[in-house]
Amino acid sequence: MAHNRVMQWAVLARTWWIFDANQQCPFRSAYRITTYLQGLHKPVYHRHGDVGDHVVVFNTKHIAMRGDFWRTYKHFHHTRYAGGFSRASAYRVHEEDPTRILERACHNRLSGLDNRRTLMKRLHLFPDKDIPENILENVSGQIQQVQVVPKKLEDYTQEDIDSFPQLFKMPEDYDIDSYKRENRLEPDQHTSKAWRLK
Amino acid sequence: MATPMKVTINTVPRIFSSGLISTRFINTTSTKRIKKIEITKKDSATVIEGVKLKEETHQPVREIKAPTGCPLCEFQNSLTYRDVLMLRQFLSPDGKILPRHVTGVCFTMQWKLKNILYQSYSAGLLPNYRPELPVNEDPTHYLKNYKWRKNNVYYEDFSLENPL
Amino acid sequence: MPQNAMRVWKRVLQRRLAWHFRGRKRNCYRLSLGPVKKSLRFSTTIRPIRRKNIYHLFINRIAAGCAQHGIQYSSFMRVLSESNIMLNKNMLAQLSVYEPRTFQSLCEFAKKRHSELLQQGIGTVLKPTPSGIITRDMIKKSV
Repeated sequence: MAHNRVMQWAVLARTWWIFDANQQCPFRSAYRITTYLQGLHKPVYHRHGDVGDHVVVFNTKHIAMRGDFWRTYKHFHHTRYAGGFSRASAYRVHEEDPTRILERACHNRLSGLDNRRTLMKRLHLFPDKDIPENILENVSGQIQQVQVVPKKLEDYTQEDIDSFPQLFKMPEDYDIDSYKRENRLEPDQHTSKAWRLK
Repeated sequence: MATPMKVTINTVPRIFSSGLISTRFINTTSTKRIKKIEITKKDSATVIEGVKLKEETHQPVREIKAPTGCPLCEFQNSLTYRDVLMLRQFLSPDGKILPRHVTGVCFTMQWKLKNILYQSYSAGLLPNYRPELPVNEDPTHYLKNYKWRKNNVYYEDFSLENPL
Repeated sequence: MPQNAMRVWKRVLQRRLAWHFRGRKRNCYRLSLGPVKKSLRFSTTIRPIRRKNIYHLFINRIAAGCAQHGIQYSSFMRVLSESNIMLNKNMLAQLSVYEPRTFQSLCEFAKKRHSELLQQGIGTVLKPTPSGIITRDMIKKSV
């Protein structure tokens, strides 16, 4: 066993990490962020040893949620008074405070820990790209993103589209206009009369 | 009424390698490109023509290795809603899925393709081919800014090439 | 010496068990009866929990060391056990903290071996069937 333990004091230094939340799932990214907050990425980790790091998260306004979760995922709250129960769906929470969903996700992930309040103080969330300089100058590392950022068809250039190989060949004599969408300007008879617009 | 129509009738149905038999018996003239029917009216005669269209790309067609003759069977486990350049080939200019006798896609992959296209539309990766809505429906529900619709969305994919 | 010697030793034992308490239950015999009984009960319940905590601490430390060198914990341990490197979790955790270079060499060996196993792929999983077992494919081949 090495005796130069003084050299390993650098391991205990508190470093700053940065994380781009653009097009990322908040719950999956919380799983990765909280490992850095607790210090689980270091071999010297101990539950009662204070070895966690700071994490700076930006672009929290542009997080992505799975499927229909913006509508169905709810945040609950109770004031402990009678009739004090309230809930709000995720998109409504996100409108008021765009950092709220990721903060709650990290907070829930750290449940059952005594030092949760101190760990949450080391998490710095910013809705947009602009981060104050006194925070940005401390950053010395980047956390890998959780998901692939998808690319829109509009973002591809015409050369990329042309150079992509064709998967199949159209039949020799095929009329394109034969497969056109119908114009449904007449009122739909299937919907009941109560739902029709006047 | 004099109608100089360029129409031939094929009695033999076209048979694909997938065992699919198309039930189209009337075909336009046999040229080697995609066509568009144009109708021009003069005072005493109407002319119906199949006008040739230019091909979009001159890329060679990829070899189909699957025994079903389906171009998508090889990507059964790897096709996701993010592969926009692949998906756009199976769309008509209106944004509808092309039928199976045109593309040669097998039944199961056509069923998957329908779901994947729905995902990439709602994630906003493909351009929005918005139809003219019927009168009784409120168009504000279909706008991109409508409540939860303006936020980003992702979908689960269990592809083997998922680099998570 | 008082008449009943056992009475004294009982009180001494009680005081010894209550030395780490705070307040009057540390010095007063009657007040310390309940808390001492409770603390003895706690000490039995914590014994398996403590073992479990240490077990998870080793795993966390090895996993953190593996992640620094780009390999997962599960594949790392599987390779070590297959290639007869008999190091227990305690020693591996100590290596990852105090001897990072030794641990790095272990990790790189594991990465190399793991990539070999991946290249062999399904061939390792589908081993030839053991003797004495007849499958449906064998009947088809013979006929």
